[in-house]
Amino acid sequence: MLSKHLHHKLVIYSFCSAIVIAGVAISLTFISEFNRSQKNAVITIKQLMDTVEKTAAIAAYSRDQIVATDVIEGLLRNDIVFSAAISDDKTVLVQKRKPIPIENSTQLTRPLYSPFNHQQLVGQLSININTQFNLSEARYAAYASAINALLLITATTIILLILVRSNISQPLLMVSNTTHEIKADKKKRIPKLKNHQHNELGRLIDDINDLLKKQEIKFKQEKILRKSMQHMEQQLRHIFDSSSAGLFLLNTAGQLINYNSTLLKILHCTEKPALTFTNKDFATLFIKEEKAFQLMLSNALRSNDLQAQDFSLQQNNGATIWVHCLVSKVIDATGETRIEGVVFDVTQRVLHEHAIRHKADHDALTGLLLRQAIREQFDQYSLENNPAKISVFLLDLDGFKQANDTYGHDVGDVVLQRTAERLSACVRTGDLVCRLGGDEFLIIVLNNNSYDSALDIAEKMVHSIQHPISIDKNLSVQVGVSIGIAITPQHGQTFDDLVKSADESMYEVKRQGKNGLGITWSGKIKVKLF
Amino acid sequence: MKNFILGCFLFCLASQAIAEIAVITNVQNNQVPLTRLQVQDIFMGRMRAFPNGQFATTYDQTTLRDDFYQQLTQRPIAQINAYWARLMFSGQTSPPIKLTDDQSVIKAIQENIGAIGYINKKNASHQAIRILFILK
Repeated sequence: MLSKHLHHKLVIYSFCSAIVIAGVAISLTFISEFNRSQKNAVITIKQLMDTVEKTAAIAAYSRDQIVATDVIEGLLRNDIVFSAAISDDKTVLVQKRKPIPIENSTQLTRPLYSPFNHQQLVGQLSININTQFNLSEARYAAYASAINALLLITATTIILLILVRSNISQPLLMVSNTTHEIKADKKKRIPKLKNHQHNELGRLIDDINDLLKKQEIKFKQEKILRKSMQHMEQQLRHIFDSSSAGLFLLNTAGQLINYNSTLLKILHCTEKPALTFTNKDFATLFIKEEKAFQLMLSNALRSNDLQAQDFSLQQNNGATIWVHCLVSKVIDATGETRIEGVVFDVTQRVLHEHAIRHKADHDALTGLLLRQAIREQFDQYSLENNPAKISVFLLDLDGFKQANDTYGHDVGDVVLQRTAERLSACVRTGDLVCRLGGDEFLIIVLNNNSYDSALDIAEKMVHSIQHPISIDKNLSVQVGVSIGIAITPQHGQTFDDLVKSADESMYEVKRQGKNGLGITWSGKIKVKLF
Repeated sequence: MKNFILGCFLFCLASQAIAEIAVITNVQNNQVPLTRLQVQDIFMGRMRAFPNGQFATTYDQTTLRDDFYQQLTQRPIAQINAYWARLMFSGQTSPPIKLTDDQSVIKAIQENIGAIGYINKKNASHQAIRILFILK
């Protein structure tokens, strides 16, 4: 019996318990009633015996069967008597029983004395109790108490049902329904019950209302909080997205987890769908110098310091952009180790720097390297290649001063420019061509220290310079060149030693007649003039 | 003290006044003397015959009846009457036949061998009767 209602359950339980208790009580009643009626029966029989004793004694004394029969029949009229007998001192005078089957009937006997002599025993009156009667008496009592109990229990249960329903169940149902309908953030409250203001129900309602009030306040606070958080989040997102820096978050494997739109702008990847980047390796996606970037990441993971480096990025259109990248290790809210990074587009700055550097390193007129720059590059090359195979050519133009004086500085400048172009053409792109100043040039051929090759190059230069330089339709200028050659390791390994040796040879050429080449060899300067 | 002596005197007179009663039967009835209980059983209808087997017919007499039963059963005569009143309805047991005095009793006994009755002891020297018991 499953019921949704509390009062039904309560009433069913109490009814069942009452029935069980009543059953036990009725059984006890039956047993005690049976015992009592047995005792009563004995008492009643004894009283009956008292009543008929005298007559029975007379009947026994006079052995009068008719009187005895009268007595016995009189006794048998009692429900409680099953059978009765009167006997004299020798035989049974009269014995009669009721026509009902009885087992184990209890017999009571009474000695009969002579009416004239109380010592003279004249017979015996014996009565058997009608146990059926006892049983039916007890049954009747049990039935009566059962009906009684049933009526009481039913009545009590119905009253209980009504009371529980009206006093507990219905108010509870009302409270429950109202609570069910109330929205967490609404002002609605459970109304107070008239008859239950000061009992448990009243307290329950008060407590629920209190809770609702607290919840409402909390709800409001939370709403405000959420709004401000959303606002803040929007602001942060705005800052994140509108930041001029590209921001990104990597996992420890270097894969991209999150980034802002500026990153894509900086990396010029805006045309690709954003999804294609997440979980891809950041370095291989964008960075030219993958290994350098990975080294920086591992440095950032190992140390807690901010790592900063410039990288060049290869664009699809072939252009190179420069970015300044800052990365550092962070632990996010979930305890995962992440790498956050910032990328600035520094292409303009780097280009500017390159330009300045170029300006500082190169001669403004010819575009050739300056002395300091060529020295640095020589040193760099010597460091990277050991032993470095280098050929050095020191050149000084012949006849430039006259041309300059004769035709003016403008013509001189053109001569210098053409000369620079021709010298550059005589060597490979990677070789270094420098204007030391005035009409002096220094050329360093890398990865070549062959004596013959050096002489060939020098000869080629002499021939190249010898060609007249046409200034305009009417004017062409011709200059010559004196070249001193030095090669490693015969003339040293340092810049200064080589230049010094070349210088000495070059002066020897000048002294001997100009427009030729010279080289110190086996302790002597060998000169070849053209 | 006077009262006590008077009481004693009156008691002596009274006991003097109650006569001895003889229970008698026909002389031909060769019954040996009876005990008081046997006399009682026969007169109260418990025994219908003498111990010797002779059927007994009992006779009362109005003159001595009260004294006789009084002395025999130690019960008031009213109880004896009540006793018989109960038994008479059954019709099975009959009370003794009622006669008037000693003479009529003796006469009845002489006529019936099984008759039994009681008379004053003074008149019990008759030849035709046998004394069974003296009630004192």
